[in-house]
Amino acid sequence: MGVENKLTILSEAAKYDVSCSSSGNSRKNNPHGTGNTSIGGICHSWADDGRCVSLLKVLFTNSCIYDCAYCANRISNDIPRATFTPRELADLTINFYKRNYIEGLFLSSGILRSPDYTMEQLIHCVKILRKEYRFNGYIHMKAIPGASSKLIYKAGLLADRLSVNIELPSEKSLKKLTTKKQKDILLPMNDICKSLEEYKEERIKTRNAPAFAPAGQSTQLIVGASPEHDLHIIKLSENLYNRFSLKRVYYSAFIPVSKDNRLPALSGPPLRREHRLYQADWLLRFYQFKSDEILSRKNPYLDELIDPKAQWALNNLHLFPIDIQKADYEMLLRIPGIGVLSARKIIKARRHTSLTFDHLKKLNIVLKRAQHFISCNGRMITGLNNSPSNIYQNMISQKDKKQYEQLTFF
Amino acid sequence: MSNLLFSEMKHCQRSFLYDGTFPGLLCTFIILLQNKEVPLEIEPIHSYAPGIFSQTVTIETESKIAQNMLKKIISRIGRDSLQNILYCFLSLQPSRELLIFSYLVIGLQKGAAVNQFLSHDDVRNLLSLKKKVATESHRFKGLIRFKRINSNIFYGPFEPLYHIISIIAPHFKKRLPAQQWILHDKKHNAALFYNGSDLQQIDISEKLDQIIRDSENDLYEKLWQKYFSSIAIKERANKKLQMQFMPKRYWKYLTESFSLQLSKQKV
Repeated sequence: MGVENKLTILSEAAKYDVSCSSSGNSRKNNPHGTGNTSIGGICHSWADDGRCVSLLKVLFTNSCIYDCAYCANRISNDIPRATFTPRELADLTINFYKRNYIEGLFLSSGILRSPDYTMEQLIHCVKILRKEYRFNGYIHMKAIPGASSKLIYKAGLLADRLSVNIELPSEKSLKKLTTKKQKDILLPMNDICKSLEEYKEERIKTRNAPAFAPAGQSTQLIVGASPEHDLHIIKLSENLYNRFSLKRVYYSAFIPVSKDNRLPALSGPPLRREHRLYQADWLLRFYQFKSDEILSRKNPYLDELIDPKAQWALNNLHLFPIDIQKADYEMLLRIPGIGVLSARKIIKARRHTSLTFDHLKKLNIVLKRAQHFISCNGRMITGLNNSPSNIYQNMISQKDKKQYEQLTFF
Repeated sequence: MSNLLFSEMKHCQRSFLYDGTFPGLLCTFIILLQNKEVPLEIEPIHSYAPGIFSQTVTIETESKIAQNMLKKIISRIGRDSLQNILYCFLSLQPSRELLIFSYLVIGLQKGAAVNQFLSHDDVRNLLSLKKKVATESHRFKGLIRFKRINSNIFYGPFEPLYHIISIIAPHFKKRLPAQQWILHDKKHNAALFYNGSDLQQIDISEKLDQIIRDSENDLYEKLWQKYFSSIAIKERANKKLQMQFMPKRYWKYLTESFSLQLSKQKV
C-alpha cells in the first residue's frame, strides 16, 4: 500500500484523540539540526471542525488486538487496515516540517502483536527522527497501556510530551466496555510521573541531565459514553492533576462509531457538556477553584445555560459586590466577566489611578456580566436589577436566550 | 495628546518629516525631545502633501544618533518597551508616529511602569496595536507554507497586514538553519533570502518568478492536502469557528486551500 493511502487511513483513524497542543517546551535547535519548539505552541491550520492543526497526528497502525466498544479501530470492526514503516513515517514528518506544515509529530497506535512490540515500533520511528534526521521539533508520543516501564522511559527521553488515555472515568465503565483495567492505565501514568520527578531532581544537580518528557504528560476522557456525572469527572481530573502532575486533561464528546447496545444511543455528540467541562477544568487550573466548590453531591451536574463560574457566583451572592480597587487577585478571579488577563490588567492599572467603570470598559472587561458583582469607589452601577433570577438571565448567552425564554414560559 | 505630562512642552504647529524608516523616526524623536516640542504631525516625507500654511522640518537620518536614542529607550524604559514601540511602528497605521512619541514621553518619565499605566488612552492604544502586530506575526509563523523550487531552496510567499517580515525571519533562521529558503512579503514588496548562514535582502527578479511558477507541485503538497481533508470530525463541523481563526485573507498561499475551497462549496 502506498504512503498516500496509508496516510489517509491512519490520519482518519487518529482524529478521535483530540489533543492538539504543541506547547509546553522550548526545545532549542543546533546549527546542523532541523526544528525547534515554541513554548506556547504554534497553530498551522484549522480543520473543518474548527480545531487547530499543529502536529501530524497519526496512528502508527490501526490494526489492534483489542475490542473496545467505543473505538473505531476495534478488532471486530470491518475497516481497511494499514501500518506505516518507521522510516516512512519519519520521512513524512521531516518533509512536512521543512515546508512549515507542522510543529511536529503526534504518534499514537493500535496494539500490534503486544503493547511492548507496538511501543518498540513507535520508539524506532522517533529515534530515526531525533538521531538520524537531527529533528528538534515537537514530538508527542502515546504510552501504550501495558508496555514495560523500561520502554516508557526510553520514549520519555525522546519525546516532548507523553500521554496515556484514561478514556472512561471509572473501573466499572472500563469493565463494561473494554478488556483494559484501570491499573493498566494508571501504572504507566505513575511511571511517567515518577520519571518526571526524578528528572527535576537530577536537573538541580547537573544541567545536562537527560531530559524526560519536558512538556509533561496529559490524558483524555470520553464524555457521554458512560453514566458518570460531572462531579465525578471533575473530581477525577482534580486528582489526576494533583497526584500525577498532569499538564492537561482533554475531554472528548462521545461520537458513536458503531452500533453497540453497551453504549448510549445519542442523537449527536454532547458538545455543550464537553464545553462546560472544559470551563470547569479551567477553573481548577487557572482560577484556584476546588472541585467541591464547583459542584456538590446534591448538585452534581454543570448548568447547561450558564458557565460554572457564574453558577458559583450565583450560589455565593453574599460575597459580592467586590471593591475593584482593593480586592486581591484571587477574589478578582472569582468575578464573572473578569478573566486571568483582565484581573492582571486591573491590578496594573489601579496602581496608577482610581478605577472607574469607564476605565473597566476600556480595559475590555465584560461589564454586562461583571456589573452585578463589583463596585468602584464604594458604589455599584446604579439602576441595576440585582435579583438572582435577573442575574441568571444576564449570564445566558444570546444564542441560548431563546431556549431559556421558552422554558420559563412553561 | 492633551495631558498634564506634556505641560512642560511647547505645542508648536510644525510638521516633522522623516525618511519613513525606524532609525529616521528615532532621530526625529531626539530633536523633538531636545526642543521640548510637541509637533503637529510626524509624517514620512515620501507620502507628505504640504498645505498652504504648513511649517515643515525635515529630519536627516544619522545612524549614530538613532543608536543613541535606542540605547536611551532601553536603559530608561526597558527592552520590552522598545519592542512595543517597534511593533507599533511596523503596524504602518497612519499617525502612529505621534502615538509612539506620546508613549515615549510618558515612558521617559515613568520608566518601565508606563506599560501598567493602562488608564491612559495613548498607552492603551499603543499596546493594543503592538498586540495586533504580535498576533499577526505569530499567525504567520504557522501559516507560511514553503514550496520547494529547486534542489534545496524553499519559497514562502505571504501577504500580511503589517510589515512583519523582520519579526518572523529570525524564527525561521533558528528553526531551519540547514536549508536555504526565501520569505516573500508580496504586499509590502520585501523579500529575504537565507543562504544557509545569513539573511540577505533580495529583489524577486523576473527569472526567479519564472522558476517559481514553473516548479511542479511536489509529492508532499499532495500528501498534505490528503491529510488535511481526512482529519476533521464531521459530527463536529464548525465552519464558523474555522473562519474565525483563519479568515479568507490567509487562504491564498495555503497548500490546503484547495480543500478549504471545496469544503466551503459543500456547505
